[in-house]
Amino acid sequence: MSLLLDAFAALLLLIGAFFYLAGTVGLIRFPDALSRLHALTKADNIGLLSICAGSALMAGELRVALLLLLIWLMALFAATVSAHLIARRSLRDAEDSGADAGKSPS
Amino acid sequence: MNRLSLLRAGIVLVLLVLVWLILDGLDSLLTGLVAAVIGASLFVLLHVPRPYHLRIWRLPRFVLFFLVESVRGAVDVAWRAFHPALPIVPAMIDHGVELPAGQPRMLLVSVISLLPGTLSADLDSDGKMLKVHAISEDPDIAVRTLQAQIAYLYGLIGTPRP
Repeated sequence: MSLLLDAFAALLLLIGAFFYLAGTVGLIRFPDALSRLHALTKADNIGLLSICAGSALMAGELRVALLLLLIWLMALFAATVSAHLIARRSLRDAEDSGADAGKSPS
Repeated sequence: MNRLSLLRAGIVLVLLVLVWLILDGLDSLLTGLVAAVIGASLFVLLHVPRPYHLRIWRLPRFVLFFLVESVRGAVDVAWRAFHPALPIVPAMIDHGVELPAGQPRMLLVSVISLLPGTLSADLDSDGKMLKVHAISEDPDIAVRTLQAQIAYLYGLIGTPRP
């Protein structure tokens, strides 16, 4: 049972690492600032959730699990707000310089 | 102070004590209790009445919707990032905002970024038009679905479907 739990926890950690990797690959490969934000917000959010869930299982303690949940919620909040602010800034910059933010590669 | 705001202060108090317990355990509970009481009192003093309150019993449904869509969004963006041909079609769309100002609209702007293919970019000054950056097809449907879910969460409509 404990082995099964550990295996499941390890699987969650691996999934988390995969999404972080995907987010980083997206950050490098996507053509402009706004597209890159897509990769960072969405992939990292689920990556962190996975890693938190895996760590909570490994810790096997309710308080640690709740602490990790709290960490995830706060990171989620910070990520959405900062993504929106960065998107708005880069959009307004692009408008100021007369380019189309959605299409022009940076 | 009416009964409802007393109830809300109570909820804030319980949440603060809970956060303290999570962060610090039982060792210095007294300090935590004092801090939580101060926090809840500040909430009562500084609380600005809001016209829209989320229906707490509708929260689980929204959380589930959010989790499922977040996973879909992450898988979608991971697929696009690893795909050799980089299949993304960046586009800006303007989408009408039907949700009222305040919490419902703020939730919309925040959560859009975590849905598959959409990213909230800018809200115009009167808050009626949201610029959404999309990297996939059909971003309109995603935004409309989310608006309906939020309206339902805040009791503005009777069904979570658009």
